[in-house]
Amino acid sequence: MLVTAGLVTLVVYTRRGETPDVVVKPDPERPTASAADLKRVPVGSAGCLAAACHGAPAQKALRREYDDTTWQSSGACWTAADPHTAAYAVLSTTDADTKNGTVKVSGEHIMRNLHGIRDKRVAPPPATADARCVACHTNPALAAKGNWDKADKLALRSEGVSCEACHGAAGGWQGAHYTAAFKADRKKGYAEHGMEPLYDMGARAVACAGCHVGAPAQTDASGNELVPVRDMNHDMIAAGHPRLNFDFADFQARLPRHWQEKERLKPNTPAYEPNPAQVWLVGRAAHAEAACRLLADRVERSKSDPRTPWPEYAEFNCAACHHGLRSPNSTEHGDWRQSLNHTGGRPLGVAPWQPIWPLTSAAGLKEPARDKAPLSAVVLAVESRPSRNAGPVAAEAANAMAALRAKWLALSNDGAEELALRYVKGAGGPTAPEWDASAQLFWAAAALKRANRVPADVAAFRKVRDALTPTEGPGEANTRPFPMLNWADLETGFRVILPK
Amino acid sequence: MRSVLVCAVVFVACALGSAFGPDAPRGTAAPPATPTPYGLTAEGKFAHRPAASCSAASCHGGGAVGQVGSEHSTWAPEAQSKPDSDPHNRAYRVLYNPVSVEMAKKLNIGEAHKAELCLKCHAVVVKDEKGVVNEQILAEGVGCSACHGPAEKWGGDHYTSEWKAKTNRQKAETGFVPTGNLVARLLTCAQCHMGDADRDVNHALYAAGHPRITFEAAQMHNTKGYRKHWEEKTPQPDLEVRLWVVGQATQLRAAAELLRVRAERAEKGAVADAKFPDRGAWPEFAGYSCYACHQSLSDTDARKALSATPRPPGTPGWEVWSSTAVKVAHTHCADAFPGLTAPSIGEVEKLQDLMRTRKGYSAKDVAAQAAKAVAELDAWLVALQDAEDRGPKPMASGTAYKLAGELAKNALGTGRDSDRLADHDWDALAANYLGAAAMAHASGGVNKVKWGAPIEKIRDGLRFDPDPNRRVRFDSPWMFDFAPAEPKPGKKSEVKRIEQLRQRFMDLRAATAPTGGN
Repeated sequence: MLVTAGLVTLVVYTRRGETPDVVVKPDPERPTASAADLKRVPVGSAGCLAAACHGAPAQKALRREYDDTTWQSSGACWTAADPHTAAYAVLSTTDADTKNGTVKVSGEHIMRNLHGIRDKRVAPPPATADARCVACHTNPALAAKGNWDKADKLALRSEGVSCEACHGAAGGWQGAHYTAAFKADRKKGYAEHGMEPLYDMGARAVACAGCHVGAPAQTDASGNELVPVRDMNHDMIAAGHPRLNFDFADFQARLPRHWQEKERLKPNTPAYEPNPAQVWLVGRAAHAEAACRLLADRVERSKSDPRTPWPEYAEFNCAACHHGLRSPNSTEHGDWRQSLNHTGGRPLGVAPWQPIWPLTSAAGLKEPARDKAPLSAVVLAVESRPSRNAGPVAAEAANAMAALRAKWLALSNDGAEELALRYVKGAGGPTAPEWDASAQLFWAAAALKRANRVPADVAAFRKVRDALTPTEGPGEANTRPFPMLNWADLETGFRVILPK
Repeated sequence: MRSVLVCAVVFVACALGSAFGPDAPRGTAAPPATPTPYGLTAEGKFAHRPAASCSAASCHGGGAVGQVGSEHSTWAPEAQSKPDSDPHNRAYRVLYNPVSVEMAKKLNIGEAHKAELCLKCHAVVVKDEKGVVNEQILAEGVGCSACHGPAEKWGGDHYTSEWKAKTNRQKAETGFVPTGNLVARLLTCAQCHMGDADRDVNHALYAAGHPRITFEAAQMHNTKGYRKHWEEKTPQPDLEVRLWVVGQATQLRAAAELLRVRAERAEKGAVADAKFPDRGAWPEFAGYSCYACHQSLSDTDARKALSATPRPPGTPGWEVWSSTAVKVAHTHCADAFPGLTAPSIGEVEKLQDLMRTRKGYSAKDVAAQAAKAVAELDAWLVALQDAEDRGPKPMASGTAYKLAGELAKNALGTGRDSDRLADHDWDALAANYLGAAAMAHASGGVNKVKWGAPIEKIRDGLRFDPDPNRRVRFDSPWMFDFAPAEPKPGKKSEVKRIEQLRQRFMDLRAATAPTGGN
């Protein structure tokens, strides 16, 4: 009963103005909540943001200065600068927001397209009412079946991707995570109370990938949905949603970090700086793991769910299909996509699976070969008939990827840097104007730059980045729609930034 | 207009036969008992004869190009007196060119000129009892009997009065294809120019470099440089209007049949083998509009904003090329063939709806619905064929003009969407354009009719221009919106090409409205 009372208090603290009619009553389905019942129940961030907890002023963290007081301002840092705060708000953006430049694509635009409503006088159903959208644009647990219609949970959604979205729904750990007992054995404490072990770089990358790649639904032992399926598919991309284009190392480097990196499983939690090359490696493996689990899940769901088609086009490299049909005699690279040098044995006319280099091969990169890469089994299965057979293969590969990220996480700094260098050197410069391959190679170079293993030639890095960036037309000489590249700049830029 | 690539037409085959053959759908998809048009005979039923038996000087080899009695001389390459000739005579030879050699290498099918996959359309293969291929017939490419039927039973008497007294259906029973009947003719063309169970140019072949298969009967009959070896019995404009109407029905029939075959093979788990690369793929991408997928991603919103495209976002359009204008041909069938009301094509519409939904991915559902659609289209084709045999009454004057107007309306939406494009897919715009262009051509040419100007401008808008800023050339409307409409030297137009096309179709609609034009 005490815990229930705590819940009520928490909800009162959250943004009441958002849903003025909310009357919090004890949930009849959960009349007496025990601590065990509350495990993985979302409670919102209000409790976290107390000034004495994680709501202290965050000037230092915002200046990227970290020490053993960083935790006190982690919530404030997130509130002040983290783009995840806006995740829910963007769902409610309208055409007006696009017009005044607030967003590039509005929630209204995407929903209008998804529902095929051309009449501008008719408002499309709000994205905030579509579980497919809410599943990633707030704490995913709030979009789970059991929470969807609950008024108190509805009120929490507007927090966006806040504390619990990544650290785990806090019902079970909120009251425990600061106790001495919890800190004495963090690994056990996290597991028992349902807190995500984000101190593990691999687990952290997997948590990010849950939304930034996608993930199957999670259920508890009795089959209740804890987290709904997160699947940003080709329907949504076609309706205007930006593609998911994730690199853990790059994204994390850009995030206003609200934590100090520490060896949290060691006594006195010594601070350390993670090796950028290692973060890149672990991130790629976690990305591959998430992509494999999503692929396996899509195949499974497609058997019974009419809303899940197979093949799901979002599985493929966008440019696998969305490329112009170049004349074979065209002077600039001609029909390189058809050339046997670039197909690597893939049957002609079959769309290549998404490259997750270096776990898969990538067009125009020399190594690894299509049939020699760690994820070759998945690639070969997706690219043969019937491609549904790739489901079980991917499920198995996901486990192998989990083992690989653990292995890579155990590497020494030197070991990680040497391995990353080996991959980049093995790839060579790209030999085909293929966007995904070039972008992924670029991320690797950027990680090596952060690790001081390649020359930090800012101008050359900018050159490559700009060469990869589509520019808007019409009519300008540099008009370049996706997936076309500025090949000349890309080549010369890469020549500088890649290790010799 | 990009010239539609002529590859070849081959001997009469079993598109229909296969419906009853080993590929026949089971259960609900059983072939319905509807009459079937003649012009599709079972392959292997009769023996082929080499063209040498046709080209005697006193028969069809008179040597006077373009004259009656010189049909073979007009067709054959050795009788060329002008650079024109019938491209079908090159069908086999192209299998030796560098593109074919490269394609065969990529597809790993051995030599193109020996591969069954290629020869099915590029030549007539006749084997003796020992399995030795008749080289003479092979080298003729798509020779006489490829289109006119294997001559075993009719070669000896097709000039007699007894023969001439026969009905077309009786003639067809001997393996002869009465190509004077437009339905029989176009069904024959479609076997290669669209494909069938034995002639499936799928996405693997395209990826290896095969030119796209597109068929539009009226346009192909008037391809520049094509040297016709026959005289049409029907005068213009009736001829071309009817070619277009029959072509629409034939095209969609072939497309639906191909879909049925592909869906069934996928459903049965047909496995690609060395001879037929990627057979059994599902979805088979070759059944969709090329540019549904092969488009630049930067201009999709602009295109969508201008159109009322009926597909959910992310769903490629099935056979947009072949199905866009069928409704016009069907609704106005009686205008082209006075007195003939076309039978219902409700099942065809259901198939189109199915292919627009997620269920369209279920090979089983698709095979069943496609079988119903084929039966329905066959019924329409039988009606058209009978009308052709009866000799249809001349069309009312202004029919071509009326149909051009209907095609302009078809390119645009209805109701609140009437100033939007009905479908922004390049194939949809091209299908409506080709229809309108045929109507103008039938009426004397785009320069002769008052409503010709917008048609010419639509043609210019649909052209695949090289990217003006780069050296890359595309075989697709890549960067559709980025290419300026009507560029002037030294000046950049701000009007997007898709917007220009929308305006031109509106111009055409206005020019062909009851009060305008002609």
